Amino acid sequence: MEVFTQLGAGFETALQPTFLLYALIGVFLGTLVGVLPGIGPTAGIALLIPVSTGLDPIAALIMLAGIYYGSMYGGSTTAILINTPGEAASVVTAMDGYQMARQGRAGSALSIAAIGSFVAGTLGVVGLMFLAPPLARAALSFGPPEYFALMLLGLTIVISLAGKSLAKGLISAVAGLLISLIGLDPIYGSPRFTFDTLSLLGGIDFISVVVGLFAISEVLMGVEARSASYVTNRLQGIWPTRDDLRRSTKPILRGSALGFFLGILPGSSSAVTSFLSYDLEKKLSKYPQKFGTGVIEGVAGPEAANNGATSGGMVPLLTLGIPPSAPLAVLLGAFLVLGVRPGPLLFTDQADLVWTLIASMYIGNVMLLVLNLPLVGMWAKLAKIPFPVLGPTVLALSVIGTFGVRNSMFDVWMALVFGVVGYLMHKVGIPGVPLVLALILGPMFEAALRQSLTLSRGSLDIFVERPMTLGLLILAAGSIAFSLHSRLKEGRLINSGVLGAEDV
Amino acid sequence: MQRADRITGIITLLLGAWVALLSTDMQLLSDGVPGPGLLPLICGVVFVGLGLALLLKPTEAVTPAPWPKPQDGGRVLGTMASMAIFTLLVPILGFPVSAALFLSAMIWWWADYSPWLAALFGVVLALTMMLVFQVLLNAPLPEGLWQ
Repeated sequence: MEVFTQLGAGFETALQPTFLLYALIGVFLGTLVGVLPGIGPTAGIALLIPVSTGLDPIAALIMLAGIYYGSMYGGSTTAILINTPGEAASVVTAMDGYQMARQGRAGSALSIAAIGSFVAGTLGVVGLMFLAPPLARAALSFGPPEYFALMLLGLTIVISLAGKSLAKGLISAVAGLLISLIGLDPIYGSPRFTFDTLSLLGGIDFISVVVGLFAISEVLMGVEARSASYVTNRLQGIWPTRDDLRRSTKPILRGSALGFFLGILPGSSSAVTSFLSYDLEKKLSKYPQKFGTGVIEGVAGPEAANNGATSGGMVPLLTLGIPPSAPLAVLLGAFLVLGVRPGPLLFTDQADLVWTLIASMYIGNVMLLVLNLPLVGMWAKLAKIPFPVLGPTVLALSVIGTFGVRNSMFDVWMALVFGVVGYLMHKVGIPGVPLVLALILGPMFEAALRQSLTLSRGSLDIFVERPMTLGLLILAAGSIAFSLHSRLKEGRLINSGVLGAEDV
Repeated sequence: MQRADRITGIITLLLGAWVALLSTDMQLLSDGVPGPGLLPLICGVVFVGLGLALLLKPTEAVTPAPWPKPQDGGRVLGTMASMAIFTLLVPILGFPVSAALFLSAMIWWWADYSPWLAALFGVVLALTMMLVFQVLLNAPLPEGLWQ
């Protein structure tokens, strides 16, 4: 089969020492990002994008993708050891994982989380391998109307990313669209909202916005809260018992499948994916009342779902250029900065790059299993780095990250401005992720809309006459419905106190 | 929270109105094809609508992030000011020196370490960043007047 031939070629490239090294750097940094509270995968990827522009594009993408799925592994470590999820998807893991740690079973919880993540990640990459090429082939016939509908589909994700208040989520998204409009008009070349400032002619770089909103504002919140160091539970042994392995097998397989298919869908949040898996395991369990007291199934299923979703999310990203989550939105930005355009043509024009990336994900999952099992004690110690040292370090790294984009201090100032904006947005409950998503998709959305209407000489019929466009618009409507349904479900979880509003 | 929402609503409304006004100076439509001003105009109008929505129906739930007490707010403002000073110094002193000064000052302030220990942390961290990013990863760092 052609898929196996291409995968073989991908492995041939990915197994070269240079790319193996970058895969290792990526998963190591990803685990570190996941372990350290205060830096999420979104900020981690954003901070390293400018650095990666000096590398070979394949090496850079292997490293950045490694950070993404590596952070999912790392996030569960702090969730289990110190009841502090590294990212939203690990909130569920903390529920039973932390209880297991308090009972002296942290080692079992950590190793099952790592094994579950490995199995889900590997199965997810298999799914990616078989689903992505046919989807890309179908998308080859896309023209501007199809791209417009596709970008609209991508923008519907903001509904599920909006948090508790839909109005505030939409404010964030529209703000992102407006920021994306600053600079030169892409078709006429005339300046928009530049106020005769030379620096604004190039627009506001999305790295500055992301670093400000996610890295700098997070430090400001930590400063306010006087975050200090953390107390961890003592780690006794790292290997799971035979009984833990037996009880985890089916939850891991179920979680992998659930996470992968939900991860494909634009509009599905990682926290909800993990909760759905937790809910499923609880319903199928012989002792549901024990969930929340330290049950291994409560760790195995959600961790597998969370990591299955990372591979699932890569399907729409690579084949359609639609990022279903915040870290993938930033990863999309990384692709564009590196001159790689995700979408249907990726699998034909740059087949070697994408198959090398897929092959490296297999390798990366093996590396993560090796990194996370024996080194779990080391990761636990790193989580204790005092915030007064970590916080200023993140701020200094923000300067490096944003300066490196265009060698411009203007971008550093923009990051600082957006750091303050991000802090204020957090205070009034406006989520930052819709802004980032709209900032990235906005220019493509506008360009596709204007090109489509130029083709049709202003007639809107072009969007309903073409079957693929109509289908995507219907899918966008379905995505809105699904997202609204997810929001209702999240609302029930928030009202019951299980989830905090900041966890979704 | 309701007051914060109302203020946010007013700001959003005013910002939307301003954007919509500026957009009318640009070409909106030409033979049915959107010009540079159409999408900003739509965004501005939507912003006005969202601002009104928030003004008339603020969120009822308690915010998970209450406004800081004066002491905590002072730390946040101090951090913003320190970051601004750091950013001003970088093009003059270069990244390594500015970072060493910034990191030392912040660690000393936040961690209550002795000045010498904070300075040691600051210098080591700044040098490590320079080594990793500039030397190993070939990332550009501002060199300031030393250039």
